[in-house]
Amino acid sequence: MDTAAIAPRIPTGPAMLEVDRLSVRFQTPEGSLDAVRELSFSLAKGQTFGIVGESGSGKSQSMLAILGLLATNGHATGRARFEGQDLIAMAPRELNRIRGNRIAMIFQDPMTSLNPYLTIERQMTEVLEVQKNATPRAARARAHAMLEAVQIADPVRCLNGYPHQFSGGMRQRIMIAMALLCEPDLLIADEPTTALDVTVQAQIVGLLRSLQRDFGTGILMITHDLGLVAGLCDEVMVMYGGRIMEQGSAQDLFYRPSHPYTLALLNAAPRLHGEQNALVAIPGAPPNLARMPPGCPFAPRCPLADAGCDLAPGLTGEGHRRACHRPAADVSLQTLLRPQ
Amino acid sequence: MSSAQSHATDGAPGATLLRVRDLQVGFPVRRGNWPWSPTLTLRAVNGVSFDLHPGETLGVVGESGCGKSTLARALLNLVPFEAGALTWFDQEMACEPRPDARAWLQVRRQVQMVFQDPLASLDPRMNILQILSEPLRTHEPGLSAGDRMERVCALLERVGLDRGQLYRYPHEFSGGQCQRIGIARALIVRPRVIICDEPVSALDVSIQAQIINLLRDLQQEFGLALIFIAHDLTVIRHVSQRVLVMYLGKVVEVADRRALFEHPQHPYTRALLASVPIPDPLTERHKASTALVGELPSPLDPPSGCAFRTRCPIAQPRCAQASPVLEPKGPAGAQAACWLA
Repeated sequence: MDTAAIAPRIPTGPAMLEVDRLSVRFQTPEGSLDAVRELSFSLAKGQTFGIVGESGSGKSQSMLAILGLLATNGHATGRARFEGQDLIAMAPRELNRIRGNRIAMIFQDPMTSLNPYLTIERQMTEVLEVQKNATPRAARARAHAMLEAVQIADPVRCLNGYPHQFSGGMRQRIMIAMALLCEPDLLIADEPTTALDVTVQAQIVGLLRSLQRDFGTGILMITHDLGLVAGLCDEVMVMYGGRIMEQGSAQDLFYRPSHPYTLALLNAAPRLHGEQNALVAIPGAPPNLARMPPGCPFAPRCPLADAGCDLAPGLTGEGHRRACHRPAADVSLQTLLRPQ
Repeated sequence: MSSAQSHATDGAPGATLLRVRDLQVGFPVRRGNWPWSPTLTLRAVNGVSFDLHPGETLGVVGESGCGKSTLARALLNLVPFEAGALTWFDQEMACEPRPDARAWLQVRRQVQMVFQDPLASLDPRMNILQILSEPLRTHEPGLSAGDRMERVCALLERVGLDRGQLYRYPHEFSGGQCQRIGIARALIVRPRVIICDEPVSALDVSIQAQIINLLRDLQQEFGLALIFIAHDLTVIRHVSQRVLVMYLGKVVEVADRRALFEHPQHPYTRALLASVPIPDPLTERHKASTALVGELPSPLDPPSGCAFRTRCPIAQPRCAQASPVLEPKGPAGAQAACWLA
């Protein structure tokens, strides 16, 4: 296979976002729990970075922490430098100059993240008036142009409508248009297509791809769908129980997975091609954040785990990193995890 | 029943468990907010016909709003059907004007359902023992408390939970465990058919695989026939022997699994298959972009002729004039409703 064919897509520009040992802790009546532990990664300009994980892996909370949107009982530590400025330490007033302007976010549920009381026009123009001091007329023209860019058939009717008048796919497109109004340098998309049908998902993915080509926006894509990551992302990080399990280029992750969890995820998903007799289910359930195992969070479900896994493994490797004492890099270990 | 015999979907050997002919389900919808606003009929299922054979898994796939869940509900009279014929185990079921409650009770003993949202489909005020005993009290009232307990425990262990959890309540379980309980509740009366409405779509990938494997094992063990409804084509491909593709209340293609996934006939099936992202960076990036344009038309105001023509890449003027019917196309046993396929 010609794996070099997709290599040129990875830009080697300077890092735009550098996350360094980001941790998120929540205080709950039952005690404190760690949703994210020691997350470090960096994102280059114009790059698409995928974060994959199941529910409770900490993928969404880490993004909310970066944008200062954690719930009041949550506390973030560590650093997240966006072009040199640390977002975690920043005061809300300063953060407001960046959020919605330089960094925008698309949320999972287009139904609940639009305000049902305001017309689409009001919701779209507000950010321009606040961030760019645009006049109402200029803001409306810009909103109109953006709706056209996301292929909404009748932008005028759309601007005058309320969210409930649109289908899920239309609302998600409106969300994307809204996020792109200020031409952000970084777009954080949290499961942007999970609520949508496959045909609409394909449209949205095509849209994100062409917008990235036209505007050079960096995209941080949070998803549980490995297929989506394969088509869209240059760099992929797999999270589990609040920690990084493995990180590398898309080719590394899909063709040379080295962490037992990555391998297990790849084998657990049913496929559209080829023969699969039984799916290789991962036994057990994702860990409860309140009762985390002492070492590697995946150890209780890992077929390769041994006594050494009671100590949390550090990330090893350059470029392609994994946190595992027994990385399944060599073939003999891989066969243990493969079907049959 | 004699009129049903002539229908084109017949032909498979063996007895049929379920025969559906030209089923129609509609909901009255008022257009406007006034008492005198006109009432229209939203036809969620519009002329669906198929057979279900013993031991097989029939997958039903389509986008949201295509009528697949309404179809499942109509099969058990959870919503009434307006027209068409529904024959369960060689007994024709009446619906309008009044369903025959006794006949439906007989059917429901043999046909059970598993729902999408594992937690919402379990009564939060009942513990697991109560949840699993209730179907037995209804369908096998003669059973002693001891026998009931025995049946419940045996099945609970079979679906991968243990006896110690009998007195717990649904909120104490994870999503995957709740779905195991939902499956046990369906199996406890020893049905012949289980209708699964999106049973794994609310679960994480690793748990989804556990539940699919469990359903598959149970099907073989108990000789069950499954109607498996899902929007996820990869899941449908994995579980089904035969697949029904629905669009806007109609069946656009029926075929054996292999035929459908390797030689799809209907342009909608082809578009659906092309839209599924594949976890392989090279294939996925070099895949020609074949995304469908537009969205599902409103079922209140469906397009004339073929319902898919507004989004179809190969539509021609004749597609607007008359609605195509299901007829044999492509590989043996496959049928598609398209003028051009």
